[in-house]
Amino acid sequence: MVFPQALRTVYPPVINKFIQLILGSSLVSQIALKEITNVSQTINSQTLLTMHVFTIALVLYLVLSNVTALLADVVARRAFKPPLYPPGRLRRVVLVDPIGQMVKGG
Amino acid sequence: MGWQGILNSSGILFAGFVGTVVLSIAAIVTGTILGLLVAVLRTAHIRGLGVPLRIYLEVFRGSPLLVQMLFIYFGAAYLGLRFVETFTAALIALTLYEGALISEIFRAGIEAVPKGQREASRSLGLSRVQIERYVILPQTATIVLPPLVGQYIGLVKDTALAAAIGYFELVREGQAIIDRIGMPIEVFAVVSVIYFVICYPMSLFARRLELRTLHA
Repeated sequence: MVFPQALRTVYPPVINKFIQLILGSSLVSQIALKEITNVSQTINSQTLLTMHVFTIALVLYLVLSNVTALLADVVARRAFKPPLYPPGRLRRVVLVDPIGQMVKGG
Repeated sequence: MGWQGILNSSGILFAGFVGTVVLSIAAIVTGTILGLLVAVLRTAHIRGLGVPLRIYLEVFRGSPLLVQMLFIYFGAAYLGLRFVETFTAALIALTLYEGALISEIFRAGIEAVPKGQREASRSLGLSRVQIERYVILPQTATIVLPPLVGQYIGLVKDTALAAAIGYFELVREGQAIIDRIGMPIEVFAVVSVIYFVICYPMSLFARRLELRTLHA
């Protein structure tokens, strides 16, 4: 009884945190784990194609975060009845405003 | 050796502390100005500005600060902009990133002010700038302040990323000490404690502000 209701309120901020976690994974590059950022830095120092390399890295992260948000939205549409958001286009980013109300647009 | 080594390095740690504080304060000022500007422009629904501002927000909130910092630092070098040193690059990245987050805080605050306020001021003949300056923004202050201070705490911790491009702040100086005397656990423990000493009073302050808004 309680859990499904709690899930409704908790879902958007949890997804937001999850996206931040994905972006935060860039930090492990600093302890030499090979992920997007680390590999970009290596390629940059080898080829000096700075703009190309970091643009690709940036775009990859943007794709990751936006695809996650989109998927989360698709899931929310199927899972929550009544819907979490007013019907309309898929929003690219699940947003929770910092003051704690749901943001209309996103 | 032992803790004595760290004590002997306290000058280096202090230099790092100063580096962190200077970068934090600078970024808080510039980030808040940028955030406020973006929020006001977005809520004013000025034609032609909506899409570029949306793109700005999506890019800087949808990618990691570390990558933005590397992009700006190495990108500036690539373009031959010599004046962009580590501090400047870190400040630009922090400003753009935190500005995007802070603008969302301000926007939420501005949207929390009832629509009637805007309509009433317009019927009194105030200009658009006057409405924002004298009617809307003063009312957002109490709503916006607690999450804003929360964001500043995050900002202080985000300045640690500037170590990656070689700006000498706490983490970088900590690494320098480790290079000389070893003891990574002890040194990073001390560095963490210094961050805590900076951030804890801020979070106490944020909590007090929160209580005040609750009673208001």
